Amino acid sequence: MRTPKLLAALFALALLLAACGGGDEGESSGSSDASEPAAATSEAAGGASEAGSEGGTSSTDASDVMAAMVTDVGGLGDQSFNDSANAGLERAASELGAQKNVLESGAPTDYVNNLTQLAQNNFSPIFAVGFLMTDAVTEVAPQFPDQSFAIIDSVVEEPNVASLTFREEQGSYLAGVAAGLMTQEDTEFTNPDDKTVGFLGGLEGPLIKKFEAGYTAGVQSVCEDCEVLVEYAGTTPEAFNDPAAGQEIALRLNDRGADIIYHASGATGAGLFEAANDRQFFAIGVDSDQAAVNPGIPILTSMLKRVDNAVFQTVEQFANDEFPGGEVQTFGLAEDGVGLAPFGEFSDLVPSEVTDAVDQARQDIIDGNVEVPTEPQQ
Amino acid sequence: MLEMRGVTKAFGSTVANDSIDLELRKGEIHGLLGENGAGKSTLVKILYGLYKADEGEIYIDGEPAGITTPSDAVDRGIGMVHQHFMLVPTLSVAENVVLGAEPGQGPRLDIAAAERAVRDLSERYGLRVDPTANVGHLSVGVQQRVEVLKTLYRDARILVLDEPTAVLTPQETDELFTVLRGFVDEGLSIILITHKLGELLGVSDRITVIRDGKVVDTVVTSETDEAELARLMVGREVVLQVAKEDVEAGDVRMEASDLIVDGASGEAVSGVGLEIRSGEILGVAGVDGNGQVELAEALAGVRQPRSGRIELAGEDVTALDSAAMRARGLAYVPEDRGGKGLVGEFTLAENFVLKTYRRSMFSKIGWLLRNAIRAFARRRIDAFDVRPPNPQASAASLSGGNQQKVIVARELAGEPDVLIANQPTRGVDVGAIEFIHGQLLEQRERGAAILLISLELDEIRQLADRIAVMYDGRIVGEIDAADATDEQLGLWMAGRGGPDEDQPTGDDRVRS
Amino acid sequence: MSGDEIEEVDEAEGRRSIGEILREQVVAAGRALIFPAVALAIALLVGVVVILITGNSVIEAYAALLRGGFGSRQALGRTISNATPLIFTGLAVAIPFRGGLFNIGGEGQLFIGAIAGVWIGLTMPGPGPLVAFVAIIVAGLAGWIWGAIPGLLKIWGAHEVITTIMLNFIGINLTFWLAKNPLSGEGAVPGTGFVPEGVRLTRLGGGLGAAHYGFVLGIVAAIVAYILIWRTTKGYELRTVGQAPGAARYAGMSVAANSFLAIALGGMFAGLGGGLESLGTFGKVSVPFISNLGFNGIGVALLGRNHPAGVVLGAIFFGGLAAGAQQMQFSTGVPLDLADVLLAIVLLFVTATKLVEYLLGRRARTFAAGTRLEKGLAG
Repeated sequence: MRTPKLLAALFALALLLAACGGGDEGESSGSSDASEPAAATSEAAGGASEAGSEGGTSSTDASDVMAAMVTDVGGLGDQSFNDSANAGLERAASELGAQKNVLESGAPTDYVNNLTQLAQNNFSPIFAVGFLMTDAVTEVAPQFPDQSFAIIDSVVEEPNVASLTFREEQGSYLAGVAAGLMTQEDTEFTNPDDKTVGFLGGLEGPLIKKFEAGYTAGVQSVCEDCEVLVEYAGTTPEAFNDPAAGQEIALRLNDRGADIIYHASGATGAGLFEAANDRQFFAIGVDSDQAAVNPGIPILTSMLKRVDNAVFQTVEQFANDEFPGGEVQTFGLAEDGVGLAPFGEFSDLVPSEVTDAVDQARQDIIDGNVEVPTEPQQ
Repeated sequence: MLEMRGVTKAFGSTVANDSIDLELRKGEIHGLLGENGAGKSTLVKILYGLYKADEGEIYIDGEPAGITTPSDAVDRGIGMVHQHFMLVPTLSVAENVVLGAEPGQGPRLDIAAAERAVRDLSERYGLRVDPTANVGHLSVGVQQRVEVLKTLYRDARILVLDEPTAVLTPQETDELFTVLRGFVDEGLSIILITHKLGELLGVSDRITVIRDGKVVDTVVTSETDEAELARLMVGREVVLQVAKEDVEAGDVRMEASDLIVDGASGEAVSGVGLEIRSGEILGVAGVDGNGQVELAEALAGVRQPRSGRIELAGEDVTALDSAAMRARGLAYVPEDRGGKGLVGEFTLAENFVLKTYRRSMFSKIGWLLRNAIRAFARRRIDAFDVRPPNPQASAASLSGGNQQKVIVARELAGEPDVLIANQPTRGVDVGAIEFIHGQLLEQRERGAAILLISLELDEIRQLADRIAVMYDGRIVGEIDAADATDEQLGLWMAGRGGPDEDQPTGDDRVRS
Repeated sequence: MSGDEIEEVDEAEGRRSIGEILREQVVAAGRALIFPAVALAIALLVGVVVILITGNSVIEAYAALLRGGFGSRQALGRTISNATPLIFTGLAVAIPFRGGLFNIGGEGQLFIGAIAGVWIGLTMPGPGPLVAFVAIIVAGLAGWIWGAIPGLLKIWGAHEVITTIMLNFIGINLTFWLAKNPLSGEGAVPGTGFVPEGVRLTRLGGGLGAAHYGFVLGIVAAIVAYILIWRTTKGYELRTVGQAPGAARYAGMSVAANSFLAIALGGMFAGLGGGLESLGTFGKVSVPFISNLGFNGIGVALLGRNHPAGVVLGAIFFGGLAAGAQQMQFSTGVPLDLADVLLAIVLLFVTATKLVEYLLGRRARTFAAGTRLEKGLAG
């Protein structure tokens, strides 16, 4: 009787281990290797980030900087802003010699605990990644007035908190320019007779409306009679994590003629990519260069949100005693905070006029010749 | 023919079968006798491949049988008729018989061939069954024949019947035994399991008695008698006849008229009327499932009758629930110990106040008085010799007999005026049976009115002053216990020969 | 003569010495803890392998886990703060379970309680403590109603597992809608505004961080639940209905009324937990609100063998594990997910009673009493 029991126990163990091992690959959090996808992305994004790195040489004594970040419940491995922020810290660690620590949050209650723990251990600056942590930062930062905090995608009005926001509408505008021109081209993915493009939003709210507004303005700047179909996945946070809904919406938009669909919907976008692959139309990714991590899928380009650059620059400013505490930093095209990924795999299908137009639009925005709306025009 | 040698099977620390030897000769009916829990069922389950023996061997015709699954057993010519039938009620007799061994080629079922085979078998062995009948519509006795046919169809040479008479009327029992004798003449061998000694004497050739998992003795039937068998089975001298004092029946304590009660599947009691008097036991006999449970529950207030009237000492109590009935002096021992009479996970103390927890001596303003409850439990436990005598023991940890004692001890507390006891001795050991019978008679002498429902005709005949027989939701006959014969009762139990057989509902009231 | 007069009972006879009672209690508690302890030991063993795979020191990691859960006042504060709502959601499962029902609806009941509490906190005028008091009562009431719905549906024949799951969706989304529309507040995080400072639950202080008096209320709630279930006639009925509905009918108890009561009580506890969480920990209901507290309550209840004392211990274990895991990821590179892995294994062994029976022998079965799921699902 002993042996079968032992065997059963071992078998159970083996199963559990297999399960753990599998999960681990997906979202191993360790402070080093998990960030590789994001880091690779930032490299693929190319020279755009060089402007930021210049500061590295000028830093004086950054090795005693102890930078840290707290993820929101999405955690590392989200291939989105948590990973991107981590990549920024990585870069600060390697280029500025800063120490780093990353704490993931398993539940909203962890936000305060994690921020407090880092502060008590003398980390500074401490990055709170994501607007969900606004209340937590508002609560914790005043308790540690001698340390610096930064919040991403939100504003906290405390003297020791830097608020890092992004002008997603500017990057989305470029995506719109590309989409508006490409929908008129005759390729295997686009139909020049139907000048319709689509937008798939995640949680319907002011943040994602910025994406929609910039994108629509971009499309219309190059194609006045183009139609932009807009749909949102929902009104709860689930809307950022619902690939099935994303696929459904993408197919519906495509049925109605959209041959290029831009998404700002987090993990919901995976459904768009699936649909784009099935129906062979163009998708436009968001946050990081999603074409690079989804080879073979017709992803025209991606709107880049360079959280890594913002994080890196903020660490650098801190090392130089220029930490923008109490300020709202906006990262737009000019600051390399947003951008458009290179056309990559499908660049052959993109005529040079399109790349030229995108470059022109970028320049116009940086120069202030074009003002991009942050709310959809009615 | 069949030999079991040194068969041992333990469940945890309890040894259900301890080195059992059993020899079955060709062409004999071998009785397997033992109390509930003696290990009879375990033994035949091992034989049939349902359990694996820890030790010991089984030989058929001198060769190791090598039975590990029921299908092995069937292949070796062993047929088993379980206590609970394994029939599909929506299929016909023939379909049930051939199920799992269908004639015909491939997926096609040759129904005609199946019916022919069943007809041949039933003629050859004298088992009257219509092969085309729907099993769900057959009486229990006929269903049992279908079970037997199933084994014959599979060419069984050794037939094992587990408590086959439990569901039969006396006549059906006689009929079954005649059929079994016929089998033996055809060369079959039979193991007949039962805890009723009387019937074994009439039909078997030899009897093996098992007690506490061990074989006590194997005796030749013609050389033994009931007293010896009882002594072997219980391990001490048993008083087979209960001493019943003469008690003059008094006033009517409980009266029911025109009761119609719904069961789980439609009307179960169809217009029953009865009276129970102080100082008498009214026995209700009948085959299981003829409305006894529903009648008892309706009388005890557990089940609301659809129509009719119930009076307790002249008061209309038809609409009262069981707690209110209890408060009016009605005690009720239900037929299902585990599911109704007790809460298995509760302590004995908690079980002792199942109906009386609201009384002021056990609770005050919704607060349980645990010390008082425990003290009460301890005294009842002592009075009824419940083992273990620990009020904190869980009810589930007790033996069936002790569980039943707990229920009886609880129900008889406070000297009830009326007692309804439904199968109070089902599945308990002889010691507990004696004890419970003694309690019933004591209550009767004290002047309680008792309704005793039982499937065991012997029990009813021993205890009751009057005997009513229930069939198909009605009381089809009623007779003074002194005038009753097994034949008469048996006919009534089968729904025949009742005094009011031809009256549709009428007034079935039983009068003394 | 009536059967009412059961012989006079001598109370003293039933009274036992303090020593006897104490010994019995200690033995019972010891037996109750064996099962989860074995499960935890197995889980920690598996955890060793996971930690080694991630390339960390086992001793360091487990030391950090323990330190982060219980090693300092702050750690204790985090643990308590995590455990507070879990006591309530654990009771929300345990009490219906005793009544024979399996309440999967803790999550929705908690959300409804949270939003109801905040609604009072935001709109009721008056002194802070009074508002807080009313808010907590209303939170409990709201949870009661949310639990009463499946209770009613149960009487009409709908299985509570299905209805409570459905009501989770409705409760959560209704809460989100209320938080974003009628009760919407300013601020970057979508949801209601903050309730006034005076309405928020006082923190325990003493360096315990965010831990608030809700924990004390949780202990009180567990004691009340214990008394209700084991010391009152109502609880006796409830347990009878849960353990043996046939016996309850036989004894003249209403199965329907007690089932209803059991699950409504469960809802009330979950609602209280939600109210305390929103008024204490967060001060508001934000739209990505608390995650999984209601569902974790099922684990807490199973770990605590559906006994109030066990629920408190289970909640502290859950809370401590989460707090410790945080320390662990801070001090070592072991991912936060290890805590979930450990929890999952513990629950697997605690609930898979058949498996443990098989591994440890039949005797172990008695240790698992109160956690057997079939019981709850059968109703």
